[in-house]
Amino acid sequence: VQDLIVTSSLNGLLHGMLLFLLAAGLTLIYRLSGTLNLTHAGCYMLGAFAGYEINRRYGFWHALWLSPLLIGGVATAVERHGMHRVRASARAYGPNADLLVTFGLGFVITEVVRIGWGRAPLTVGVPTGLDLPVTVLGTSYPAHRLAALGLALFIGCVLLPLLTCGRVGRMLQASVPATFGVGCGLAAVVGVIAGPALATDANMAGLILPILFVVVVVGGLGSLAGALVASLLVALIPIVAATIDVSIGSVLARLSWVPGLRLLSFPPTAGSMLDEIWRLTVAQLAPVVPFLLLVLVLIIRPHGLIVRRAP
Amino acid sequence: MSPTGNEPKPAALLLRMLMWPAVLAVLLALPHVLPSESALPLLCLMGSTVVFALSYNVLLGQTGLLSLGHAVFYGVGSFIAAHTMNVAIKTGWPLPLPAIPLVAGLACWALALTVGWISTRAGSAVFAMASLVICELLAGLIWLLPSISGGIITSRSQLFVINGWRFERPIEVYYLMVAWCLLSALLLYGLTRTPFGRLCNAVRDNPERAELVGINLHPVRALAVGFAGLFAGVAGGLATINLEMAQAASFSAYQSALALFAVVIGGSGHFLGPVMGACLVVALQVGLSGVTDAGLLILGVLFLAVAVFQPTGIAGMIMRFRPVGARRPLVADGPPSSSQPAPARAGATT
Repeated sequence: VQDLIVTSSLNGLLHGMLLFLLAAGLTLIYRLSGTLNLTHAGCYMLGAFAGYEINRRYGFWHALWLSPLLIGGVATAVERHGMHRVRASARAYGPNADLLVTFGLGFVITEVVRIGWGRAPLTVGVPTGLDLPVTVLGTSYPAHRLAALGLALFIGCVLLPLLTCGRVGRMLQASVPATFGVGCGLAAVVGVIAGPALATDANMAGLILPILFVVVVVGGLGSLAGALVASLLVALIPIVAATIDVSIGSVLARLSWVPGLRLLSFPPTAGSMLDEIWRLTVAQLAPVVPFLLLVLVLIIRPHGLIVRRAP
Repeated sequence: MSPTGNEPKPAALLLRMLMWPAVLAVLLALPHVLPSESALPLLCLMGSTVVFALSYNVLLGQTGLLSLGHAVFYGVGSFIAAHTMNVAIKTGWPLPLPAIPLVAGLACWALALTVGWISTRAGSAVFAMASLVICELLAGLIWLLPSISGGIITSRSQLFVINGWRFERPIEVYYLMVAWCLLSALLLYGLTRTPFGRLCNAVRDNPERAELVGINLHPVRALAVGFAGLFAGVAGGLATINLEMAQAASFSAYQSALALFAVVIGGSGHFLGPVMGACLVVALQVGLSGVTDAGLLILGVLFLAVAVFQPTGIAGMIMRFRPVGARRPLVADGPPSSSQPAPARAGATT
């Protein structure tokens, strides 16, 4: 049992840190330009695939700096020569034009990757020297995942404060294209790190985008601290939920003393759709728990956990 | 509100009044002109997509809300339609097939008002994100229920029969589709002419100013989501009638993107833009699906090109070539465009 707890909390921490880095890039771009970058998941996926190609030829460590540089450079150019024009003349383009363009770019990226690399997941090479298990708190854990966690923590705790505060941060935040490049490059780094640790396939952008949105909305749009809290919540809550093997019906039966809920505690007729819902366990619901969290937060705190300022 | 020079000439007014009957006549005559009946299911698919795109334009074109998960109402509508049809067949309720989209639409209206109320409180950027997440939530829940995750198969010809309409022949389904399409289009067009429609336009054009003059943004946006959901549900019901099944793919991000593509490519600034866009997108999708694997990529590139180089879409392109007398400012129907005459713009800012 201890093995399971250590392994899943390390996995959750890794997942949470990667989500935080993605959300941080999105937040930086949003704060400065007011554009919600819907291509962000696309940049993450492009980073992963560029990382895979570089990794295959020159190794993981070269992929780690080359891929984000590439993606960040392209993103800077796109912002400088395309997005900028669309945003500057909002009169001719209407209020949502920048969102439309980023959405279109994300869609095209997904389709290009699907056609170019196929639907099957790729096996990304583990960095040399790290393909062995290490022992953490008496539990064996893959060393490359631990390295990925360390990298993510390093970027989150050292690089990110450098990019947001101080002299470099102020210089960076004077330029929308540069921030765009840094944000997208950050997404690409996450893609490269996630390559060996999580799955790399053409579906990864579509899978991460809703989760990323949950993090941003739950944390509060524009708030980095909120994004950190929300990403850890979003990564850890499904892991906890996956261990709860209690069905919805039995929870409702326990709650039958609440006056309004007594009606719900009756077991529905076997085989009906209601019966199927009653038989669902919390563990089965784990993949949609982040989405339920968003709905809950929208109801009780529509501006997110940490409100930076009125948007 | 339009400057004196812009009032339409009598000829243009007559043309506009004759448009609806003319469209009806063309649509009714179309199956008799076409060489075979095999094109009818394609036309029916276009019909349901047209209603779906028009409903989406209530959000994007009229209210300025970008939704990334509009398919949730389409999917729920199609599942409710299929379920209602199966229950009606089993229990023998006197529920005729033409009423099925209404059932789906009303159910989606309730859902959309709820979803709209909770997701539009924190502004349009949060709404864009929340709409995608709520669509994924519903899709994920559908996958968890084994009895419906594979889709619901139904039959359109076993319901209560009125006046001998059994809906066994494709042409009967086609006429049903035409009737619902025109009814939805008329109602949605009427919606843009109501005070509520104008409130939506005000919220779209300048949320800060709208708030300053005393418009409460949240209920306007929530009601707009409600109306959009109502007609997306109708579209889902129509799709179920056409395919005789509801499928989980209706909830996919591609279905949401389809509505967005249709509206933007057609042009959100004119009421008929989404209609043209939906027909074009469906034709492209069906035409390219047998030829190449890159159909969606081509659609995406087309969308991107339109969004960057022709932001008013096909409708905007056509409007540019209209005779001067027939020109109206686009203010009532869409985002401010470059074809708007200068005096109106100056008048609006003072």
